[in-house]
Order: sequence, then structure tokens, then C-alpha cells
Amino acid sequence: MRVAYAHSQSHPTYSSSTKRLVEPFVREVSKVFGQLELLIPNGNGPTQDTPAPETVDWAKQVLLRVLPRKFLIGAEINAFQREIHVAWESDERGKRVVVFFPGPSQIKIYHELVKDDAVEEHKLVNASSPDEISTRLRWFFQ
Amino acid sequence: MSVPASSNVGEPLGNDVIIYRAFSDKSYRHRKRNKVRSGAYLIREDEIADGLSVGLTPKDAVKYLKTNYGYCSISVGAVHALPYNLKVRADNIDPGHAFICNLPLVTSSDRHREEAMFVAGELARKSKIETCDTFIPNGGHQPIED
Repeated sequence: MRVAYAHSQSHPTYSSSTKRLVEPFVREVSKVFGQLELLIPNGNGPTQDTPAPETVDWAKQVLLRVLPRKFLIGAEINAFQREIHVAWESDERGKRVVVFFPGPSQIKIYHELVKDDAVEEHKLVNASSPDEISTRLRWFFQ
Repeated sequence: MSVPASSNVGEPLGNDVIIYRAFSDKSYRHRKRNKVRSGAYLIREDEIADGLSVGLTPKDAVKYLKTNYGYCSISVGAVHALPYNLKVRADNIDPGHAFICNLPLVTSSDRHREEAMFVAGELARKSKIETCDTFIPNGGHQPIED
């Protein structure tokens, strides 16, 4: 399923949503989706990292449902071995969250807490909904 | 994931040796924060038989790359101090080159994914950025815009 999204000052629309979301789709957030689209090379052939278009669409669908949207600002997006990795890192808080999209319908979340230059906690979970990403990002931004 | 070491892989290097990891991708380092990012230490499926490529000098670190976005350094002792029996081993074919062996592979299982993320983060934290600019052997550093 292709996900359509648009940002405008007045009426953002999200065709993938079952209900209209009122939170504005700010430019910094649209940058995240632009970066996802750039993972599919335009003209050049795919590399060993290039994810399938279905995986890119899946990542868009999931990230569109992460609320509040401001959590997406600052996310680093990379392709690795046909997977999509979306990472948040904070030196100040000693926290790292990486959301993996290995393929369509798959979400894995890794989180890590570093204190005094040592990893105090780290865990990988298989997520079943975007809500779990929002919950983990709430922890990240605390 | 247990993968037999290839014949390219030699003896472990001493803990006091400094090794250099080249950045083949911009995302391997954070220029503004002057930090190595964990992606620099995620091993790929086609590297797993030998290990992650490192050089014994900056020149050796970049010599097999078409382009680079700088490089970092780390002591062999810091690598050997990490779990999962990580070892830095000599390259039997190229004396200026070495491999970080036994790195877990992200894509093989959930357990390995977690281990790979943990250990890549540790390696990145213990590494020191040498430059975020393109390193040209015999030509110095070429500034690049991110």
C-alpha cells in the first residue's frame, strides 16, 4: 500500500490514517519521510543496503502513527543490509533508541541506557504497533 | 553465530596496538558532536567470514575504499575487553590490515541483533575520531561538507 502524506500550513491529510490527525505536520517531520524516500535510489541500481519499496512504505506507515510527531524530529535514518534503521541518540541523557524495519510488517526496537560511560540497561523487543515506539520515545525524551 | 574463521585471518594482535577504522559512509560519524556512530561497527553478511576491516595505519584503513569520510582509532585492548570473545586478528595476506572477529551479525537473529547493537555502541564510544574529512594518503585531509 502506498502511503500518501502532505504537509501544508492549514490542512494536513493522512490517507493512511483511520481518523484525521490534528497535529501539524511540521517541516522537520516531513524531512524524515523525505529521507525514507531517498533510500530507494533514483536512477542508480540498488546496493546491498537498498531496502525493498514495500519496506520503505511500511516504515512510513508506522512512523506516521508515532505520536506526538515531534518525537520524529532528529531521527537518523539509514539503510543497512536491506533493512531500515531509525535511530535516536542523546549523549546528555545517555540514551539510544533504534527502531528496525527488517521488512514489511516487522518492527523491532532496541534501547540502551548509559551511565558513567557504562551500559546499564539494553534490550531488544519485537513491537506489534507504533504505540510501542511512542512509549519508548517518551522514555527517550524524559 | 558461529562462522569458521577464513584462512585470511591470523593471530590476535597485542592489546597495546592502535587500529584505525575508516568511515566508508557519512552516517558512521557525527561531525558536529565529533563522535563515532555505532553503524561504523555493524558487520555485514559478506564480511562475517573474515571480520570487520581495520588498518594498522590510517593509510591501511582506507586503501580498499573508493572514498572515505574520515576515520577513527581504538586500541586493540579496548576491543578485547568487550564481551562475545571479540578479537582483533592480523590479516595473513596484508600485514597492514586486520580484522575485528566474532562481531555478532544484526540480521541473523534477535539475540545477535541485540548483541550487535550493544557491542557496536561500546566500540563507537571507545573510539576516537581522528578526522571527519576525507583522508587521502600522501595528500592529507580533504574537507567535505555534510
